[in-house]
Amino acid sequence: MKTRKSSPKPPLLILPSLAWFIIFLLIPIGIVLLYSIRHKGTYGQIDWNLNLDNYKRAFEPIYLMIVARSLWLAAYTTAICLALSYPLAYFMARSSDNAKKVLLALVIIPFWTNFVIRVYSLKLVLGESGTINQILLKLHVITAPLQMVDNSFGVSVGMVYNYLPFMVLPMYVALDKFDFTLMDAAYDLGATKLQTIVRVLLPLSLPGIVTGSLFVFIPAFGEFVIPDLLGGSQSMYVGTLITETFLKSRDWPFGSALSSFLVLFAMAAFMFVLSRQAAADEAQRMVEGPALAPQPDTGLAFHV
Amino acid sequence: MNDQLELEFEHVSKTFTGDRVVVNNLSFSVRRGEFFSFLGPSGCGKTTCLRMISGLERPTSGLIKMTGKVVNDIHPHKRNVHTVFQKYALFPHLNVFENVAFGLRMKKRPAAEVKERVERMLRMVSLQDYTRRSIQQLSGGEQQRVALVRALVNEPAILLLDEPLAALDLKLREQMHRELSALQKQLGTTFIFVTHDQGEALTLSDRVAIMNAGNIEQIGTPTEVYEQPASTFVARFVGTTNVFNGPASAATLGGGAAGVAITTDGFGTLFAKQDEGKPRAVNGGAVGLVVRPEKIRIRVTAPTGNGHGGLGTQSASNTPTAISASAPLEAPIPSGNTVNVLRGTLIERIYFGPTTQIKLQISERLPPIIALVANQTATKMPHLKLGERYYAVWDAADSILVS
Repeated sequence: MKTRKSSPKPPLLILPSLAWFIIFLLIPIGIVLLYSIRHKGTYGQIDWNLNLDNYKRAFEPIYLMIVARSLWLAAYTTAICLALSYPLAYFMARSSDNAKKVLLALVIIPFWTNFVIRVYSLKLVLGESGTINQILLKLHVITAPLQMVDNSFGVSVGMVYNYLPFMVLPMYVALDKFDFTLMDAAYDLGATKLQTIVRVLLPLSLPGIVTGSLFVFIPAFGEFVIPDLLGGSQSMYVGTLITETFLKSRDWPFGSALSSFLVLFAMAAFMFVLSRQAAADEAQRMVEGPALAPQPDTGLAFHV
Repeated sequence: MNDQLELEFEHVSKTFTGDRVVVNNLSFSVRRGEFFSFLGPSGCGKTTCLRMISGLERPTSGLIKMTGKVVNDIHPHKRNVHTVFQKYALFPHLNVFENVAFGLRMKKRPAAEVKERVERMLRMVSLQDYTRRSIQQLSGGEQQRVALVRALVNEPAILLLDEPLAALDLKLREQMHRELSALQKQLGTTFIFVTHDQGEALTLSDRVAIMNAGNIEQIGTPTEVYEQPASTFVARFVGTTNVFNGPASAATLGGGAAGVAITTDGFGTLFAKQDEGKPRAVNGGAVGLVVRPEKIRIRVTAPTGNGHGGLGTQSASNTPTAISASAPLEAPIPSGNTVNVLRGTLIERIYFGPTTQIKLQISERLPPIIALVANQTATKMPHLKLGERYYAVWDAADSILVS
């Protein structure tokens, strides 16, 4: 038998992904940043007079309104996903090992269907002559079809439907690691069901909640396909605004500035969560004195 | 300890889904201030008993009473019972102080009182300097002590301990045994302890309930369950033991005492003393005869005297040998006592330090006899050689009859 050669040094191994990272992430972002300080000229050409006017323009009330609407959409999508996912993830975590596999597969299977097809199929279900309206009409619950697409309701349903797995999975991971005898311990010590949830279950599953919320909130804020397909013509969100600026107004510099803001926002949200986590750890160390044993990995937030 | 009953089980059964009977018609009571243990193999229902006492499980039928009142429908948080869990179940997001304070905070006790009581309890287990440590920074023994005072700080009427020492190493476990005993005596709290470790149960308890497949086989003091096991199961589970089975008949032992003779398959006829006040099924009824390894003496030569049971004397009767006074293993057998004698080949010798456990093979198709020899002098050991034939001798009075 041949003796094994020593494995290659780590720096060599990371080269492919580093190259990928530079070519397809850092350079494009650099180009976007560069475009964001250039300007669209009178004849549609892109001039080299470099200034921050595009960024200033993004603060005009009409755009701030769109940002606010997007924030609201992302916020309530996150909230609804959270409310729906937590009981589901809890149920999954407490199921038998076989049931866990089945439930996990049911959550993941929709991912194997094309995204656009999934969103279009919602249009069929919710539409004026869609399944739901047909059933409700047949049952005489309603006399005229409900308007459920091409408005903010349609967008909400689409958003929650699409982002739910991103919330369920990290939450499930957090709860699956949770030691449920801690809940017995809390009951035993005189805690009611509510106290047990608030004082034990929620604090210990917080990493899953935070990770899931980030996974939903950040992409939901920049989402443009779902509002475009289910929101009709009147609803404009940050994502749709950026696509239209690039593709319809052909104003690449302004679109780049808006995109830069979006990237900045995502990074800021992420850094905020990380710093909160670090501050909490630091505070813990301060009160405890020097650590005697290595801290176990308690957070999922670091793995995003 | 006084005579007031802290806890009573009256015909309590618990059946889980799929008609699996976990606890079968249990009735027993625990006195106030008693250290009571459930001992049994895993899956015997002892943890389920504990969970029914704490209120985490409801009995399917029967009554559970605490100080005379039925508590079947009382939610765990309303019972004055607290538990030390198997793997401690300490809250990892709270420090030592907050873990211990948890129960008091749930009861909304004033902050000053919480601080006073928590610190007093932590002092009791020498953890007063650890209040702000996180749980992950504690050793196993320290976590164990935190778990203990987290329950005790609430001044429970009953403290339940679910195999709390299973995760500790031997040295630490022995230390915790002493601490637990001392703490229990100091506080006078009723302790109900669950374990599968018979040594632990015998060391710690006032009384032990030995459980098997949802039933209690025997309840008694450690001495009772060890010296007078009620069944073969108890005899085998509590300590190492030799068991012989066969039909019994009445017999008269040397000295005229009432006895029982058991006709075993392969070991000949063995004698046991008939305990007074313990009527046993004799005359053909199958019983078990139990003898503890330390009650068996190992001899090089056949003992002389009257009324011997077993095979040894018969096989050796052709060449009767006198007891050699110089043979170190030989102790004189008081004349008039009936002894059982078996002869076999030494097939295993395990040195424990203070004692040596040996196995004598009587015949190929029978399980070997286990005997425990005290290593009182260093010179004794070399006389026991593997492959040599020895006599195993024990008094009929040391044979225990079990059903």
